[in-house]
Amino acid sequence: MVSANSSNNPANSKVREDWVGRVTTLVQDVENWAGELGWSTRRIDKQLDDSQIGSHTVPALLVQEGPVRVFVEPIARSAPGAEGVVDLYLMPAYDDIASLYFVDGQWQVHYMFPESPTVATIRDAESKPLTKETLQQVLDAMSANAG
Amino acid sequence: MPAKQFAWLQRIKDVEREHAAMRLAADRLLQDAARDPSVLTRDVRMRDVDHAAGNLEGTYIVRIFAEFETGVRNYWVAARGPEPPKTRDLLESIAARRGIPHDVLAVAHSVRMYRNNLVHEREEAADAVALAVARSGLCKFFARLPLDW
Repeated sequence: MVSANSSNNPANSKVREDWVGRVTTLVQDVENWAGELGWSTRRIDKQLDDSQIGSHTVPALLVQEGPVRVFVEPIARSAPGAEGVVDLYLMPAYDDIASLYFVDGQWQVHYMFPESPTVATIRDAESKPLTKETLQQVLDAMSANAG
Repeated sequence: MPAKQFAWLQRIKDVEREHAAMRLAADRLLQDAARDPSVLTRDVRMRDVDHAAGNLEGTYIVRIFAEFETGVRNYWVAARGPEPPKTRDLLESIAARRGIPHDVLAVAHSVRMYRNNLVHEREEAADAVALAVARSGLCKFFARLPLDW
């Protein structure tokens, strides 16, 4: 008998499908924008374990320009107040840069933008809707720090 | 596409994430127990919580180096065959073969020595390495390995 909490439960299958689809669309968007901004990209498969939907594979994305590498990594299907968490890291050190939270049908980027007040954690940083422009702000800042 | 290098880098990063969760838990428990000692159950004493909190970063230095070392050995076995050398020689050999810069190798060694000091209580002291510095350095070393093997 399939329990209500089984990852094979039809309701949970739909949840998994929606989450994987949401992340895949995000990665596709970032891939396209990064390419338009002159950055090269490479997809990396990531395995995630989720108590409700079970083990599943989502795309992560490596974005690179010259020596600067940014890793866009799906972290979790849900978090308090969000329906998806994806983090951005500066590689190869794996330094935290920014976080993306899916809220009210849109990805919001939490990043310490230069014009924003300084806060203790990325989660507390100012959030802006993720667009090609906000992505460019983050990528440009990484390039500037590397130069 | 799957990539072993990234899978191992994520395992190294996951240790740091776990530490952050445990640090939050330990700090919260210390605060709560200071206000209300009855929250400590199962024969757990305030002194035990204090010690756990104080040793937390060292515990995770041991964990993070274990993940790193296991990954490096996994690569060595695939690339060079069974019976990898001792850790110090393993890092030196991989650094030579992969052209890993001296400063990156040096940080990996500093984490190794600090880990040894924590685990074996060596008489020769090793400088403490912060977990974030360890994670950064070990990831920089590991990122010089091939994307897959």
